[in-house]
Amino acid sequence: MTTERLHFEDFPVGAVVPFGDALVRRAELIEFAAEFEPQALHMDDEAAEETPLGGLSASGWHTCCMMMRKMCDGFLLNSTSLGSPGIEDVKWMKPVRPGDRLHFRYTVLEARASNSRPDVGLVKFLFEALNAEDVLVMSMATVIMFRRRSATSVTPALDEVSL
Amino acid sequence: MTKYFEEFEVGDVLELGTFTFTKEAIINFAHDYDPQPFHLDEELAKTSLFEGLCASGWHTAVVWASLLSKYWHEQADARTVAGLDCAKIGPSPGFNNLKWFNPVYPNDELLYTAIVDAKRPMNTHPEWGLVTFRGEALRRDGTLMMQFSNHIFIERQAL
Repeated sequence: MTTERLHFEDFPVGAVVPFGDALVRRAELIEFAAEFEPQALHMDDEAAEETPLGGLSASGWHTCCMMMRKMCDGFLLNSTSLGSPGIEDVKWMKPVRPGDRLHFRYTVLEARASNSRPDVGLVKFLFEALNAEDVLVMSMATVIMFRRRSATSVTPALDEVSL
Repeated sequence: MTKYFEEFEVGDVLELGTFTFTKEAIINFAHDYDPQPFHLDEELAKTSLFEGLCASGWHTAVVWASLLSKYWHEQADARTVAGLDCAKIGPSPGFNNLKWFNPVYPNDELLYTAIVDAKRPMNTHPEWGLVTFRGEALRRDGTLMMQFSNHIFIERQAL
């Protein structure tokens, strides 16, 4: 049965929930940059010192991907998530350095039923990544779709997805 | 490294190239960063809203960043050959309005572009300007698959 999984109703507006942390390893930072954003800022210590960030920093996309992974491990894989239509806003506020330990939290900003699909609810989250000094390094506002617990019988096919 | 802030015109279209999302690439990316069943498991994906294995939206977006980096490198090489100076590319403060319009399925080939939507000099940092690029990915049949606005600091020409 799927009753233990997090549904739309489990994300009340105003809830603030931590969902994990991650050590930013130097090798992973450089490896991600080599594959997806090969710029000196993210790969080369000396060249990075000459940039406005003043030293080697993770690609902002890497921080997004690290957070996405923690979202999966922290709650999405134990939920009825149906995916997301997009990202409203991402702010890269502070550089993320090798050796930083980031911790993540979400705040539920809004929650409403889907107009077109009564068995689906839309939850708008503010996701935040903070470093060990509790300084906000990245924020992301996005909507994720979840199944509604009260309407689980409407589309039985989706119940077969076991997470 | 690229051309200077002053040389970007609103409406400029940067052709970034194409990327084919093989099943292997989709699953590899999902395994590392977005291990939801509809990005990872063909059988489970069939019963999802997407009705089949599809790429993580982050994968679709990150490929845009990788093709843009490649474009900057190519442009730096071309400018060097032509004897032109290169502008530095600064950090990005973020992006907004990212929309995934349609799922990207295995073997979809996407065409990526960056369109200059806006530019403004930075009063507080006179050596930098902020350029807003509209990132887009289109499928071969012309369907818009992804769109967002990314903001990037680009060096201004020395006065």
